[in-house]
Amino acid sequence: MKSVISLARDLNIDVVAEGVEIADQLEYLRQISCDEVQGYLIGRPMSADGVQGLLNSKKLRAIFAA
Amino acid sequence: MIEPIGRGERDELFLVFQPFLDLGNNRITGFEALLRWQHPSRGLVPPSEFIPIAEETGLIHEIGEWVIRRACATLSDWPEDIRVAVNFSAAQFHNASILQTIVQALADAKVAPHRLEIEITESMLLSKYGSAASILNALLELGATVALDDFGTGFSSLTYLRKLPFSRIKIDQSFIRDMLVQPPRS
Repeated sequence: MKSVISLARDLNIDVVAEGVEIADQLEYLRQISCDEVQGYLIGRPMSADGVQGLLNSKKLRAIFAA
Repeated sequence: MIEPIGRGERDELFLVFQPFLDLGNNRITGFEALLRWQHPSRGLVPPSEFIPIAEETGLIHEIGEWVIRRACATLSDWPEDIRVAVNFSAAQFHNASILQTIVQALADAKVAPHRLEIEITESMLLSKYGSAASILNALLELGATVALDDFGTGFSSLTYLRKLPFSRIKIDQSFIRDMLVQPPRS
């Protein structure tokens, strides 16, 4: 993972980690400076209404703040 | 404005959206649009079952157009700094009219092109490398971004990264799952 992120950085490409499910994974990805994450830990697929709710909630920032 | 793709599928297809979180600032940056089919008798049919059939029958072009239009229309209701990522299948990239479809969908929804991300897979590049590359370049000129999905599951990944102007790569979940099983080598 580390080497992929470093190569991507050299090529000016952002890295998204898919399927992040547990907090340890999130923490490790944060340590190695992964740009973005996706997965059940962050959010399951949701309806458009769900998106509006998520964007309006302040809860998320509290949960994922480093 | 959103046309149903056919009488049989009217109201049975819908999109769900899965968020991306930026680890730098802990903010949601966008959502991947995922297609779902709620069949009246069979229930929820997974895309892995119906997309290959749609590709064989050619219906993929109509479905793909519906998805891109629906995703752009939904995106128009979201804040300006939020993007939507849409998956494209190999068959869609063999049809040059995909460009016009995307341009029209963005214009109709009045959405800035940079808010649309096209997700493609490595296997798509293997099948028709030439035509995919030219369509990708046209999309980038338009201002859209292109992400390479399922990164690491193929074997020529690094070659593609150097040859094609991807904005983003998505590391396959199998790597994330195994990431902490073996201690990372320093």
